[in-house]
Amino acid sequence: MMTMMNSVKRAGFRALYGYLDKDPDANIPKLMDWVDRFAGDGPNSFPTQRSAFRRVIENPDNNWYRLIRSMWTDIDGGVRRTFFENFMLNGNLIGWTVQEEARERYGCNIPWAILLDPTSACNLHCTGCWAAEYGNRLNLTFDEIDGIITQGKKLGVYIYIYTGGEPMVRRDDLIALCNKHSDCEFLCFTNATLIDENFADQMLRVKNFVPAISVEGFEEATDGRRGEGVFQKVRKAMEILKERKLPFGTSCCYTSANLDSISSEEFVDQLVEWGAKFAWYFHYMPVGNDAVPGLMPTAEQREQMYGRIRAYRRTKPLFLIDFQNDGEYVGGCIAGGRRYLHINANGDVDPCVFVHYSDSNIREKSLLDCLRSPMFMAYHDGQPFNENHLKPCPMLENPEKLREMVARTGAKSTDMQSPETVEHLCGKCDGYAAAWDGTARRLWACGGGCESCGQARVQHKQAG
Amino acid sequence: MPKSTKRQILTALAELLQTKRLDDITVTELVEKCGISRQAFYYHFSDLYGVVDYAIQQMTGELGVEAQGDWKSAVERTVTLLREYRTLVLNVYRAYERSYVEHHVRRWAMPLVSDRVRAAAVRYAVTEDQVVFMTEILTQGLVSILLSWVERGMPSAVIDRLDDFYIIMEGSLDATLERLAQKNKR
Repeated sequence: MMTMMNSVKRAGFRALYGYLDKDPDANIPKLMDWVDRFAGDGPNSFPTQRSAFRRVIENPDNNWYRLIRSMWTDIDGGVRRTFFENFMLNGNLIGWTVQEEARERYGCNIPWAILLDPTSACNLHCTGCWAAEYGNRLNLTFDEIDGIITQGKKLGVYIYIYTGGEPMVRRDDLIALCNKHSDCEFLCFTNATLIDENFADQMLRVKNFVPAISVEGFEEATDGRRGEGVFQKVRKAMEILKERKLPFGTSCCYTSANLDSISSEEFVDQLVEWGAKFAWYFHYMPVGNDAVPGLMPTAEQREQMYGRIRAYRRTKPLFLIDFQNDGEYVGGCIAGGRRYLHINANGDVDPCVFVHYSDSNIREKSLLDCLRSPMFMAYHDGQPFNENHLKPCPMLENPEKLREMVARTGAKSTDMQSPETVEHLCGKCDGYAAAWDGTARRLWACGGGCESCGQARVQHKQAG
Repeated sequence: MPKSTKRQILTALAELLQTKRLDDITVTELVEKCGISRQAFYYHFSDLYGVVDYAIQQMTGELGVEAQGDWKSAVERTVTLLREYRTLVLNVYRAYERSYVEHHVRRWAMPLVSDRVRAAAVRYAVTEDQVVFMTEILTQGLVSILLSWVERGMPSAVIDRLDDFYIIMEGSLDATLERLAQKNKR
């Protein structure tokens, strides 16, 4: 039955895509008539979401319309088709039903995406980063990564995200994996300095590899942290990608020191001009014995970030994600396998890229058994960690939760260089959590301009 | 990674196909035969069918280079080449649907027929549509003859009916174009 439903979905999706692809200008606006006809008027027909979407696709000046439209002007046809097929169809429509079935059957979290470090090695030596210290010692082999993906697909996971280390150190293996798993979409956090013409040609050949390029801001800030000349190399990489109509995004870590600059309108406009289609913002986390808690944004700064990103989402043709402030769209913490998990270059299966406490290693257990381990079940049972989704994290905003989970499950630090106790880590978050609490409560109570929450918007309108 | 790796993989697959069907061959077996790693294989190909696609591309590539001059000798050369790659072609034919092989044969045959039809058509007042239509009908004929020969396991280098097909094609071209041109005048 599942197979039949999936082939119906597949056929419908392909027909729809073919229709859009033939004449996007004429057919994108018509798309909603089609959706409306199928959705009907029932309580589960997402009327608010549909009307929001209609506003977007019926207005060519709308920033979201411009972003969608740019998929046809800026992106290679084959790559675009593969993205729709692998990410939208396999990763979401088809993958989701398989994930749901597995969630039901096994009673544990089943992720939507798997993050993994192909290597701990890096070609740069950035201030404050541990990656270079490991050298080439730790790697997941091709066969290990292949095994993870093969297991993942059985659970409905079609989205794989490389972290590190610098994943591109293993670029030939990454291309081989894209080729072998041509039904999956691969995203890669990278410093971009290893993206050259040859690699971009390979990307164009395999069609399912999308880089998320790390930038610290403008030239001075990037070179200051990453080394002389890195910024120009990054720019060069972006040009190479743009020339070949390959999609890419950016990844920025915001700290108390750089927040104002990398959340400025000038910088966001720059990202659009460089050709980025998405921008992923990460809140600085005080993880590791050498972390600098002073770099954590203040409550005022985080609120500024919250406001700015939301304003850009209404105006800029760029898909902006603020990992720490966007819990409302995904029901809070997505780690612990609820929507994603992280496997490091040593095979340790961490609940989160930022939470390095684990009781499982992929070299010893199946992916499913890792998801059923005590630490992952603690996440499963504890989520959401807070009803206020502006306080989603069991570490940053609810440090007592992580202390408790680690103590209860006996999860060990997976930091290979300098293991940090959970007390040391969470101790750095207590003050932050208390300081953010008031702001989080106020913002959460307000709602207002959230497209996803029709109720709040109505109240907002009535109030205004 | 050197281009020769792809060639090496192709040669090894052709060798394995002497004794086994495509569906019974594994990537692991193939890479062991080549003495390369699995990731080296997957760098170039998604699966074994990818190797077959590459083989067909190579083959039609070779044909493309040679397909100059008289179209009949181009057909003869193709027949020779198909027989050279006999095991591979037959395996592909059996492992895939007939339509896959048909698609490739058609893609190769169409330009040959088209060149011949166009060379004749310049002397007549016929439309582009009519030229395309004639090309399609004649291509279909040529493809069917070749496929039924493949179907029978490519028994010899001489293909039944191919000579007759040449006669039909050469004999009917001018007469047909003439009549089409007359029809257009009315």
